[in-house]
Amino acid sequence: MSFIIGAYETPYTRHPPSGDRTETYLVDAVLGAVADAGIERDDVDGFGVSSFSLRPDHAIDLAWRLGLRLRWLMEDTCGGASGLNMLQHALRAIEAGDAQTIVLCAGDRIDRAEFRTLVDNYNRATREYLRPLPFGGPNSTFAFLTERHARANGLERTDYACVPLAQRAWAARNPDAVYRAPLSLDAYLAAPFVAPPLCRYDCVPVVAGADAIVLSAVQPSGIAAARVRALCALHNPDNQEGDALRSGFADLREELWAAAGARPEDLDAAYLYDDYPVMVAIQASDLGLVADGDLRRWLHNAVLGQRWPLNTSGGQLSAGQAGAAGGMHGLVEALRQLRGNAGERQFDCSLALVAGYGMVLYRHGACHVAAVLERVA
Amino acid sequence: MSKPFSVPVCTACEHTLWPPRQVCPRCASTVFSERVADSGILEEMTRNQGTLLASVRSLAGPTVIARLRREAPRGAEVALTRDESPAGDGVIVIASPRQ
Repeated sequence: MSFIIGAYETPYTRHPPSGDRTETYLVDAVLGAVADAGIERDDVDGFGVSSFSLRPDHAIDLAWRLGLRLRWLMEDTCGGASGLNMLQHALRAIEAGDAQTIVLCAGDRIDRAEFRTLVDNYNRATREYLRPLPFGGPNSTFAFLTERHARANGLERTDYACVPLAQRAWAARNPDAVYRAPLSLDAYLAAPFVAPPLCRYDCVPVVAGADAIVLSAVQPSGIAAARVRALCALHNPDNQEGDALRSGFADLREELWAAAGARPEDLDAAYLYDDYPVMVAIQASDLGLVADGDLRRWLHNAVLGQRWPLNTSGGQLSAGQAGAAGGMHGLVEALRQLRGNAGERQFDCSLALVAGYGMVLYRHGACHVAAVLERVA
Repeated sequence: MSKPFSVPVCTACEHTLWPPRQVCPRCASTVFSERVADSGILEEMTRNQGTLLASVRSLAGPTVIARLRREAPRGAEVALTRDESPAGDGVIVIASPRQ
């Protein structure tokens, strides 16, 4: 049995001070999570990190900077799926006895020039076949996917807008979100296009920051905990040859809910990877959240109208995407809700779904991981 | 000088793919030849940072992301060509509407 006993997110910032580096944020997140767990640094014997901008350092360098003495160490490269991918490995490490207390962290500090370099060199296929077009980064590929999804499902911009509008309303109650001012449909529709049909509010703001969580074989007294009921992963399900309208989440859904001993209607909240609104729609459909299959109604009624707890931090669309931390942001917010320390936006949450999606190989993301987490009484 | 676009084709099962890879996703063979893929159907279009881009279903099979010469309606037939990038470190796939 593993318990998740700590979670922390550094404040995200659009404009990091020039002296701050990637490790500045990762170290802050690790120490914050350790403090949240009520343990000491020297209790940690397992460590995992995901970051696009840590180079030339690696996990061991960061462990050294933190003064960690470790029996288990990993570095993850699954981008938006990194948080849950590391969690999958860490759970097994604790079950196997390889480590007792594991800290997982993810984060980046990337400026505009570094971001351009990152997206142009995301992998060899991108560098050789997309960068020379030039393709302008993943906004283009997700513009294609959004157009394809809209056509297949009869949706319009006003339907996808439900995601950023609802998440902005949640962000108003998150003092750490970088965008908190209410967003109206008129403002959404009037926003400049980034890559039609995607406008500014369909794309995540790039920020600097980091997230971390703590897993332990034991639950310290007085510390709220959560545990993972089920976690399923599927990578490269279609060799980039499908249309991505049906994602890898559809293929892992049955196994996930069976392992969790729960159904989507049992959830109190969901944390879907929101790099673009279309991906929230696809994950909701593929993971079984849209009970009657009417995606438009789900977007307008559940997400926007009733404010069903979806991405209650404001998600990456309002809180920001700190590079690889995007793969841990939803997990940290889920843990805050499950462990009862979500502040003004706290609601009664005992069962939550978290999904991670990442690594566009050429046309769409290839890494899919989903987990069902529950509050430990 | 633009050349007709071509894609790898598996010599064992005739599966076509883009971008190139080492192992056939369908049959696991590692031997490929080339097949001309100089025509396709425009499926989606966008403009990002001034560049007009398209997702094109090539008649040879694979869906290709290309620079689009000019706007065209969905379903338009396009010619597919390739240029080497100026630095010689990449490929520019170009889709030109036939009409």
